[in-house]
Amino acid sequence: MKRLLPILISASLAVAAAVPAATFASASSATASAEEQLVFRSGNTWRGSLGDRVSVEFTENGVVQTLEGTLERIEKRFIQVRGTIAGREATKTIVLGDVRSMESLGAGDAAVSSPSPAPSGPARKPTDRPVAQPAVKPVEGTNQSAASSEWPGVFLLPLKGTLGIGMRHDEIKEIAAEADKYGPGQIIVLLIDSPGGLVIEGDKVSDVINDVKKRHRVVAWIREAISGGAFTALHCDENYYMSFGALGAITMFAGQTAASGAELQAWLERCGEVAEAGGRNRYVVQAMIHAPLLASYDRDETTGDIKYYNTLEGEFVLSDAVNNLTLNASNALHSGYSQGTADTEQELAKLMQLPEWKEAANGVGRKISSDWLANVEKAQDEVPKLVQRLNYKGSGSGDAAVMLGSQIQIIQELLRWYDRCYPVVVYEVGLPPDKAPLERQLEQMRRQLAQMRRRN
Amino acid sequence: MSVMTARIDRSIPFIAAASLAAPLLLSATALAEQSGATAARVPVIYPVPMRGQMGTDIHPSAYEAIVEDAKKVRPDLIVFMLESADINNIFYLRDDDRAETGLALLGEYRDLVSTLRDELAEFPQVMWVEDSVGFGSLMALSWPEMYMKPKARLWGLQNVSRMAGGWQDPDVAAKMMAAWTGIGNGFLQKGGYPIEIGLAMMRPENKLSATFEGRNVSWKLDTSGHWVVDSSEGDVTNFRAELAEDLGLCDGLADSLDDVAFLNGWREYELAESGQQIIEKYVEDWRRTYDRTKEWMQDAEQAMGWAGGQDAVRYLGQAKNLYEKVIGAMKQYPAVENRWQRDGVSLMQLEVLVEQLKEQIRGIRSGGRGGNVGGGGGGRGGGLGPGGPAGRP
Repeated sequence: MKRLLPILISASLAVAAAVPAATFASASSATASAEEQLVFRSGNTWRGSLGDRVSVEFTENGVVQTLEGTLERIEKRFIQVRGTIAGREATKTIVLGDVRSMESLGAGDAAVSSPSPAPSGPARKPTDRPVAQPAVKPVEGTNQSAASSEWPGVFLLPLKGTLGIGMRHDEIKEIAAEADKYGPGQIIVLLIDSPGGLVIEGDKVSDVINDVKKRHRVVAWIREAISGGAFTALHCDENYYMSFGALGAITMFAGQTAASGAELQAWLERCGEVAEAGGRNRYVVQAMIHAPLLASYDRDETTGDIKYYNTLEGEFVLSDAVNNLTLNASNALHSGYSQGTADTEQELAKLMQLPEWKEAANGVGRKISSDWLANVEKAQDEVPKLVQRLNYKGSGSGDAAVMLGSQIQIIQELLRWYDRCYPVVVYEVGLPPDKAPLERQLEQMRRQLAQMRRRN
Repeated sequence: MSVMTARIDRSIPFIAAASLAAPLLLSATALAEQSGATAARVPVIYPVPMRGQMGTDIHPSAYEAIVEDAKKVRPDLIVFMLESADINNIFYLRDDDRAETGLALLGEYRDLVSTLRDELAEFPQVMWVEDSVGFGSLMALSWPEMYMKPKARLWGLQNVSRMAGGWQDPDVAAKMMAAWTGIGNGFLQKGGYPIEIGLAMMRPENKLSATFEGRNVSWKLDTSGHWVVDSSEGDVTNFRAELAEDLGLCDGLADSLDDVAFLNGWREYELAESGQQIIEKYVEDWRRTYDRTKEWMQDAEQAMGWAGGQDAVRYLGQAKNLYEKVIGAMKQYPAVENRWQRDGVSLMQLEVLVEQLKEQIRGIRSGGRGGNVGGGGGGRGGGLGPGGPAGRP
């Protein structure tokens, strides 16, 4: 079952955790069927059973502490560990959102070891159970220990531009295929910088991400996720914001008019489902669609629990009856819609509890992205000019055959662009969605040219 | 504010300045110490002007060189000096040059802030607002440590919500408003300022009040706080320097760079002026180039008008060459392109026009059989071209 934060999942879903395939395999072979698995804030995992002796590293009042003891209880939002606290044996409730990592020290008969919680994070003790975590050298300020040098790194895919033009499902599919080469459990980070775009592309993105999520950990890192960009980001179980980050304004509209009636209801339902599938409350997302819809929440600062309302009764109002909603880094974090704010890859690595920022396969995702965006840019420059040239190219010769020949070349070039960059040709420049009429025109022009040449 | 500070020349040997340093505000200073401003030498301040029109004078392309240069200089403090006001202080005259108002290029401004803040993150940075009305205020609020000149304004963010105007459908209008103000608020979040301030500064219908809880200020978009900052119905919240200081929005009032240094705990500092020179040269260069393009466009239009009869090829050739020069200038300086774009002339239009002129010239040379392309009549051609806007700015 997916939860907002942290994610509590059953052992059978462990494949989706953020672990390298190699270390995951050894972890799974060492576990029994009754195991529990916890995935902490952004991916550090623990697998074991109630009663295990564990060492928990957690943050309390801004101080990193470590507690060793017996794991007595696992709940949706917290765990309880019995250990020596301030010199005497006691049970400590630790909110899962505060846990940085947890390691098993051995299966257990309630044996408890000291020390009591100590300020600032000491290095972890060696574990006798392979803990699934990528590890090379630790990110500065973290206490990750090395576990495997086989971790390929993060598959970062920058997604930039209009949904359906610069930002497409095709590139997500491509990066997923790259990740698949390393086995399940890879980490894919979608760096989203999009003002929105086409609903039909949103459907494709939805299908692809939902499929990729079955075998990899898919994370959204948000610079600008407006409209379709937000729709995309909300599919991911984890959302991190850049300081600049903005997510919202998902109203569907065509021409000048917003969706209404049944179409609006269907869109509200659809986006609500997306929100919930990503472990989020639907009221907040729905307030991003239709201005009159309300969203507010209460937040328990002790447990981190958040209760959402589709009224204004919550202490913190996100959206009133007049305004549409866009979240920024701070209110997204406070309302539980963001798992953290990171402006650099290193900051993101810390939040995701990765030992370091390392990009898989020589930054293949950046290459996939830049190749496509370069293609788009070229098309945006070339295609409108080609369309214009149809009106004058070859006219200087004063020869109808030369002009016709030029036009044939231009149409051939346009047809090639259909294959190379369909979205720009059709959605931006506005040529027909189907290239068949253009192909027929080309044939006709060729026949015409041939006739001219025969006559001459 | 009057303080005892001294700017010292780089060539003058250091004289135990650190002992004089007054530890007033320690945030930037503390960072500076980490970066090496110790008692062993005088701290180096690297001022970077952000003066003039947003989108042209203040454009990411100009600041790439700053990043490189600052990394070489390795200053103890970078001071961004913002002076970008769409309107002056003599409101009744309404004599502001509309061509000089900031351009709505939030994406470029975001790139600029990212470049400066993130790529120069190892150096302490402060924003010093000399005056800001318009999109410049987004820049001002993108730095967590901000000083203002006593008469400085932090105004004009209604420009952001205006970008969302023109939609009739209430849901679409609300969407656009949320989108643009959300993007605008990203700048404030980058600077560590609360969303409420952005919403009050961008959206006229919002009010703003502040409540002090110890040293903290909490903000509300209504008048329920202890201090009602803005109770107006139809105006955005604007801040003059003193109000900004009183509310903790800015970290202090500074009349001069000396004051900024003093507020950072330094009575003496060394000034590294290379950044200033880079930007001043850039502004001078692009503006000179832009002025030339205006002449070229006028001349080209004139040549097009004369292109008839025996001299058609000569004048069309002249026009083509002039347009090509404008294209070159646009490619060299995005500011030039942005400025022409504002007046409805795009780089692509000019490129197409040049191609059309080439065809027309070829047509005339081949015996007058071609030509008259692009909808223009009488051998002038260039119907897609920029004939209209030439000379307008």
